[in-house]
Amino acid sequence: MSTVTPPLPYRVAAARPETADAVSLELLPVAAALPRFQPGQFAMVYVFGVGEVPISVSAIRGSGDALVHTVRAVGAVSGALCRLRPGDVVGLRPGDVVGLRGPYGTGWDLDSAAGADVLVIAGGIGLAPLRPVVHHVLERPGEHGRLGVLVGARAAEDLLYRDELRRWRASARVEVTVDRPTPGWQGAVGVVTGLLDRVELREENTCALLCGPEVMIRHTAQALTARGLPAHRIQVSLERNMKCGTGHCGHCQLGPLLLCLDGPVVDCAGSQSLLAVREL
Amino acid sequence: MPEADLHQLMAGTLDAPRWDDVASRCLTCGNCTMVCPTCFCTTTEDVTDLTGDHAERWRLWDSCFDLDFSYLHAGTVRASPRSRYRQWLTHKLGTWYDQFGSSGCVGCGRCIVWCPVAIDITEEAAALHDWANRPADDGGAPA
Amino acid sequence: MTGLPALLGGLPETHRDQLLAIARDRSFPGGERLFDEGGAADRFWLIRSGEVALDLYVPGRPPPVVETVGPGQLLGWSWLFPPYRWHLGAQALAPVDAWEFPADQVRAPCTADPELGYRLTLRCAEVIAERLQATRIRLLDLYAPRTAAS
Repeated sequence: MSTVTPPLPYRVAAARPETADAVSLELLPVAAALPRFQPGQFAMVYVFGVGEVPISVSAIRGSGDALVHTVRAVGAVSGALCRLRPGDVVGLRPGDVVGLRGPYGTGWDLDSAAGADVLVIAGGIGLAPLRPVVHHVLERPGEHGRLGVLVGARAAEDLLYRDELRRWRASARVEVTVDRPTPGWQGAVGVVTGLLDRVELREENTCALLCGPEVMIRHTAQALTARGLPAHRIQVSLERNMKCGTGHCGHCQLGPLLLCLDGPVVDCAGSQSLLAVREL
Repeated sequence: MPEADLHQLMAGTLDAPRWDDVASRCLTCGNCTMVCPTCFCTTTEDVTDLTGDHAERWRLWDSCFDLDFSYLHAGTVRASPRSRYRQWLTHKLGTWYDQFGSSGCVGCGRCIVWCPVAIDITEEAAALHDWANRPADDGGAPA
Repeated sequence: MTGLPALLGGLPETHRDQLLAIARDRSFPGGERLFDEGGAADRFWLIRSGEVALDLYVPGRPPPVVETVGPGQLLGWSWLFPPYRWHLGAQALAPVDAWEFPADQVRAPCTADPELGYRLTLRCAEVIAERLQATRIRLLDLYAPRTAAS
């Protein structure tokens, strides 16, 4: 059996700087398109000659062919994807072509959230994989209970999707908090768990979806459990080194899990004990 | 190998002190992973010519003993030799069952033969088994 | 506000009612200062709506905000311990509705009824511990730009 899946060429239709170190790339297939992505799934994004990195979709547009990936420049490949300032030499411009493989991984389990309150909790760039969940819920009024979106960021200028956050307020409870208030910031200051006191949690019928740094995920899951939410109703999106996306390279193991197949979205009942083991 | 459910044994002994013991001997050279007939981990290397018009991707053998194996933007998840040896052994004898429904060890003994410091996975499994089945009042904690 | 504030949620109903009988409704317009560093900590609040910024006085610049307290949360614990002086300042960021509790009227029944005193102190300690833990997590600066050494 061949384990090689060639990437399909996708053209950068738009590159929108979100923050000082993150860019949203809207990608359109040059010819054939990948199968439809589900919220929470990721693509292996290939910058020719530089390398390939797993990036969750941050929006699925049109008939599903147009994909948006929000990338934070943290390494060689993600840096090559992000053209942060107009004068930058590195980074993609509209018209450039990347290779895309996917869709890979488990998506957010939105079926189990049918009829339930959906509580989205994001830290930093962690809002990117959760944005399609918000789109999904808002596009299907009546299918879910109340939608809550709690966002933690370093500072106001590090917030992703500021325009959208404002629009979501019309139909969702949106709460934003920052670690470092800059002059003019009128919102909440503190970690994202502090926002939990402010939303009513119907613990018997709420589905919580978490993404952010692992420390943030652990502490938020703990805070939710302490408030009576069962672990299997808490889904988290985890991150480990991924080379292939298809369960063949062995890099993304977290104990028994191959996170590219069994994750990145896993429920807390199955992952909480794994996250507690150091260097697993 | 100890007469035990190795899958359970591996999952239940992730914090055993034996890992520190074996880590004090293991050189993390990766020889065991190179000779193991079931080791499958690979990495990818990207090459390009000077013009940038031609790019190639090469799949190469990789080892979980390499520090870069678990590299996650700006940090290695399995930084200690203890955690890397534990990954190798628990994968081979334990989590392989979760992933593929069988043991990852065929019993060929090559990893034992090729280990430069004579680590024997059957001895390590037996030591973990002994620790897991130690008398209840000998918890290893000071009295 | 959403349900009962966390501070009261964990108390038996009798104690809860006893405390709520002491409380009075208060509203503060956005921008109003509720207290200042060093002032007498003779009351505390449970916020029902709005947002209050906790700040410190620094000469020559607007007071930096260290944290905000919002709906469902406890504002003020300096009233628990002598010398009953505020450690920080507080300013309403937006119009605030809250229950206000005069400290002496809470401390007196707590002294008279050690069970009430113990339970309320325990709840306050829980809130304080949660905030300490949150502060420690914030010290990690989790969302900071990454560098190879960090």
